[in-house]
Order: sequence, then structure tokens, then C-alpha cells
Amino acid sequence: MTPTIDLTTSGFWFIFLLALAVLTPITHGALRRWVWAGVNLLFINWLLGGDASSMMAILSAVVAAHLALQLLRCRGWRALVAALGLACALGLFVMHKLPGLSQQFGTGVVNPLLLAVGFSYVFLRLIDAGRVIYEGGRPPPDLPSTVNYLLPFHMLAAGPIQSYEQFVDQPAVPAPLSPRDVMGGVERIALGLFKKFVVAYAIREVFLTGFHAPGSYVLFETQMNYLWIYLDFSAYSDIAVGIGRLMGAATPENFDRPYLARNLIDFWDRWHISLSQWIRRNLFIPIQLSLARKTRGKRAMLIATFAFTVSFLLCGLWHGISWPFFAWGAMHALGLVVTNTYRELLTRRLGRKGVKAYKQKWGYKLTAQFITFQYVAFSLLVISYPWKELWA
Amino acid sequence: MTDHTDRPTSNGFNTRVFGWWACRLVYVAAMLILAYWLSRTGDAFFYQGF
Repeated sequence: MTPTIDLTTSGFWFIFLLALAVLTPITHGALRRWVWAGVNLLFINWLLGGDASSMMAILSAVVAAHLALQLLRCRGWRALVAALGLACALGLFVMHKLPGLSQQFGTGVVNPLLLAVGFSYVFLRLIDAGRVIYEGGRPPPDLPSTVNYLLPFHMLAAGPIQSYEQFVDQPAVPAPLSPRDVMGGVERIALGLFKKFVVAYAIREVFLTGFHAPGSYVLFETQMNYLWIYLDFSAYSDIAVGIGRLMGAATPENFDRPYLARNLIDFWDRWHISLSQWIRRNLFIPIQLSLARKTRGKRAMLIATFAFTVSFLLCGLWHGISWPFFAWGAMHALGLVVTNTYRELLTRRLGRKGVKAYKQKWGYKLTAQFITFQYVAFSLLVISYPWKELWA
Repeated sequence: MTDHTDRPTSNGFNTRVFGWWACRLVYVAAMLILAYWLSRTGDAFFYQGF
């Protein structure tokens, strides 16, 4: 059996209540970190069905990651450690994404563990922490903090992807919960569960056919598919944010009404925000800065185009190493490049004040929202369409 | 401008605040009950396992 996190099981909610009961009274920072780490490891142990050898493998990997993050501070070693660490993490990531290939290489035994911990997200957290520590932005974590940053049980299945800076900067002991905080957290969890198991479920049951319906229904189903993915994904984020709020564990927001976005740059400020900020911190800005230094600040538009393209092709491949996800990434890269170029041309022609006035027009707002909505909906069609059945 | 909505009555009871919290509790409970009822379908999350 492949272990996956299932919110419909009582085990998940039992561990959440246990975490709440043991963490809330603790007012000592170090003790809280260790207890929080214990809860996260207990959750993984439950996911793995209490299998001791699997748990030992997870613990060994955490200790290895912890030591690698410590070594990133050592001047003589850090370049080598960074290169080796990145190679190992990338290797595990490819094994996770291509289980068939992993089986061929005889490493298939690792795949259930990678799936259990949601390795796609662990991979991004590891890269973020590694970059920040390498650049000297924050100190490396102690052992319990390594567990708590890489394997937070409420963010394992589908994020959000917390930045290492936010994780380090949160208070060691959160402020005591007020009745208003408790109600806000419970309300957020309830809203997430309602969105997922009532609204998204109803949309899927009533409107979605897996793109098997004949004729022009595909156009309508494309719209419903976008709505369903949004409700389903934002529901998980609501639950994670609500749990984080109750436990005093900083959990970033992931969505901000993406259907109102007026262009793709705006869209990525509203959709899967923690991923788009990760891309900005770890891909877009480093690529842009590196090229800007080489060209001494010239050809800014060309550099931005290159940075958008590389960042979002990799973003597509992070979602899945397959042609549909590559095409999805390419569509978003193209959309971002077109938006950025159009914005630049518009500013040159109308000036900053002119652009501001132009954006206030209702006609512009509604048209831009409609076009962006359709573009995103059709990009999601690319990854949702049953291409294999078409080609079979 | 003074906000009068949180002002308690002479016996310390505030009907508006109580009403607001009661409505919120009912709405949260209704969402949880409906979600629990339908969660038995075992529907997985789209992003789960990425």
C-alpha cells in the first residue's frame, strides 16, 4: 500500500488535536521545538504504518539534510556541499516524479517514502533553506527545527511552501490564543473542508466528465475544471492555514481570489502564492541578477524574458516530468513574457500616469479579467485532458 | 465616532456580540457537518501526491 495523507481519516485529526493539546501549554522555546518535531515524526510514523525500517530511513535522511545545512556555513566546504546536496536532492526528486525509472534503477523501494513525505514540497523547502544559509541570510536550523521546517505535518501533502526566512523569523513561542483566534482558525478549517467535500465535490460530480463528453461541452467543462481545481487546492491551503493558526505555526497564505487577476503576472501574485514566491526568490531573481551583472544592466527586457521562460518551464517540470506539464509551463512563460512586454510598451506610449488611468477603466478591467481567466482555464485543460486515451 | 456595537447592557450581557458569535458557531458547525457527511466519499485532493 502506498502511504498518502488522507484528511478523511481520523488519524490525521487525532494527531492535530494531540499537537494542539501538547503544544499550547508549552512556553519554553526549545522544548516546544522538540515536542513539535516529535509530533511531526509521529505523524510520518503513522503514515508509514509504524514501519521501523522506513522510519529509520526518514530519520537518517533528516539527519543528513541537517548536517548538510550546517556545513553550508563552513567557508572551505560550502560550495562542494551545495553541489553534492543539490545533486542528491535532484536525484531523489527525479526518482519521486518518475517511479517507473526508479524501479528500473532498483531504487523503487524509496518511492513510497518520498510519496509519504510529499517530497516535491520537501525538495523546494530544502533548496530555499540551502540558498538562504549559503548566502548568510539566516543561521542553519538545529535538529528539531530541521524536522519542523522540512516535514511540518499540516503542510506535507500540498504545501503551502513556507520560506526559510519566515520559518526562522517566527517567534519561538507564539502569543496565547484568544477566543477570536480560536474561532478564526476553526472557521478556516471548516471553510476548507466545506469547499473541498461539498462545493468542489458537487462541481466534480455534476459538471466534470474527465473531458469525455462530446461536442462543445469541452468549452464549458474547461471553465468548471478551473473552478474545481481552484476550490480543491485552495481548500487544502485553508485547512493548513487554519491548523497553523491554532497551533501557532506560521503558515503562509496561498490564494488571493485568482479569478480576479487581470494578467498572468497578477495571476501568479494570487495563485499558489507560496510557489510563485519560491520561484521569484530561488529562480527568477538569481537568474535576472546574474545576467544583469554580466550585461551591466543592459537588455533588461531580454533578461526578464529569459528569466520568465526558464523559471516557468522548470515550474511546469516540478509539477510533473511530462509533456503536458512542460506545455503548461511554456504557456505560462509565454503569457508572462507577453504581459511584461505589453506593460513596457504601454508605459512607453502612455507614461506611468496614463497607464494608471487606463487600468482604472471598467472595460479594461473586465476584458483583462476575462482573457486571463480563459488563458489559465485552457492551460489547465492541457494538464487535465486525457491525452493518453486520445493517442492510445 | 464611537462604536456602540460592543457596549454591554447594564447586566453585562451584549446581545449583538452574543448573536454574532452564535451565528458564526452555527455556520461553522453546519459547514463541518456537511463536509463530514460528504467526506465519506474519500475524495482525494488534486494536488496530493505531487
